[in-house]
Amino acid sequence: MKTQSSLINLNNFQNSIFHFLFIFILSSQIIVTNSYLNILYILGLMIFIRAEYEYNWKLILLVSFYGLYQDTLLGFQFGFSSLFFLFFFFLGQISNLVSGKGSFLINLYFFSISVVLLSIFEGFFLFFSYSIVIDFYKVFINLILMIILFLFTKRLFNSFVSSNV
Amino acid sequence: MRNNRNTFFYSLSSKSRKLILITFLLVFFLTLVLSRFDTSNLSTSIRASSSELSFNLSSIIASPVKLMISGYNKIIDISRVYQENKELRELQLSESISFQEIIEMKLKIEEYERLLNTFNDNQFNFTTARVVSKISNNYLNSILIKSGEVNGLEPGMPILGLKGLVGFVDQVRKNTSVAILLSNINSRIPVSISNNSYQAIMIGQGFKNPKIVFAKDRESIRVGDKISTSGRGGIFPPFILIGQVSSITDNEIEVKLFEDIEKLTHVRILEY
Repeated sequence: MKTQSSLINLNNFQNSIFHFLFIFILSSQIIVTNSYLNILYILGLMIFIRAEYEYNWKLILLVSFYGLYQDTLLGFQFGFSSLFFLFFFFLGQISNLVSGKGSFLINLYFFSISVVLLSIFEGFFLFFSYSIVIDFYKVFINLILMIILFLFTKRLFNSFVSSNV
Repeated sequence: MRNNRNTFFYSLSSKSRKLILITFLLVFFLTLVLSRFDTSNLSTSIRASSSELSFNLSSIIASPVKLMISGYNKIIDISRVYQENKELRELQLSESISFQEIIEMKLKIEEYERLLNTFNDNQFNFTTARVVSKISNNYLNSILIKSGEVNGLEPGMPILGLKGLVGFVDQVRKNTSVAILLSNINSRIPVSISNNSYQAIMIGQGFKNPKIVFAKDRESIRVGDKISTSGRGGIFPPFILIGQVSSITDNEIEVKLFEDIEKLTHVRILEY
């Protein structure tokens, strides 16, 4: 039995727009930085939402490649960004499997919890490896902004692909 | 070829196969991160050959954003010019007196050095380079400069702006180099604080101002104390100005850098 989400396909044009936007935001990181809104999470959000729609294995490999591209661009450890992106991809799939018909709320819970967990992990990592204490309010603002962006992006995606159903 | 599909993998549903692929890649990249692949020679050569290309590609893609930000900054700068001009006129007289004092002090120091028979070990040749771009995320701040192997750059060379130390060279390519800024979390600089030369280490904190750790005589440090390189460890020459203490709390001492990294257009790379 097919779920609602698997019935929705992105056509070539919509796929191209998704990839262009993704690379554009990824590339903009060399110019735009913000302490309240982590752009890395925005990319994660895009992948999380995209993972709900029909995809093929090429997308998984492309996401891994984007990760490696980001690593060389920003000087991250090789594999870090791919791991980050694939984590959101995996989570998007799991959330979709659990919610059955692509429940909006369950997706939101999955996404929010994953952002909170990653922020906690980031905080501990920076504290123990670099003795840096992250400001709690910045993490909180980032989370709120990510939830708002989730609601906005999800609706945008839904309206974007509704014509294909 | 079709016979190969009678395996366990192909007997699974399409969705399961894709989940297995994601899991496999997740494990692969996790191993890559945990195995510290980044410290290997292979990783260094891959990064050196691919980062210039990825940067150029990103610069082209992000050019509309760059254009928008530079336009916005120009508007802000123009509005500041009038105010600064007014302030500068008022300061002109006192500045000329300060300038005379500085020249007098410089001459005196030169005279004392000659009398004490000390040699000047703090003058170095330098290369000037244009800042191509600032590459940053929340914690790993660096700049790309238009000077590389052909100009004699080497990893570890100190980089100065107009007012003080900015960072040091990290990766050197043929025509460009990547420099780690003082705000980068990987930056660790031995510093000397105030005229009493309290020794400490300054570490980058990403978006926040750098902080001072391992400070000796911590209780003697005051807000406003000047911070310069100590020269300890031979990483940087001594007496290069960095910034001043901006705040002191129970947990940390923060440093306000003299150099406004956002406005850097050119830097000097010391041959040290």
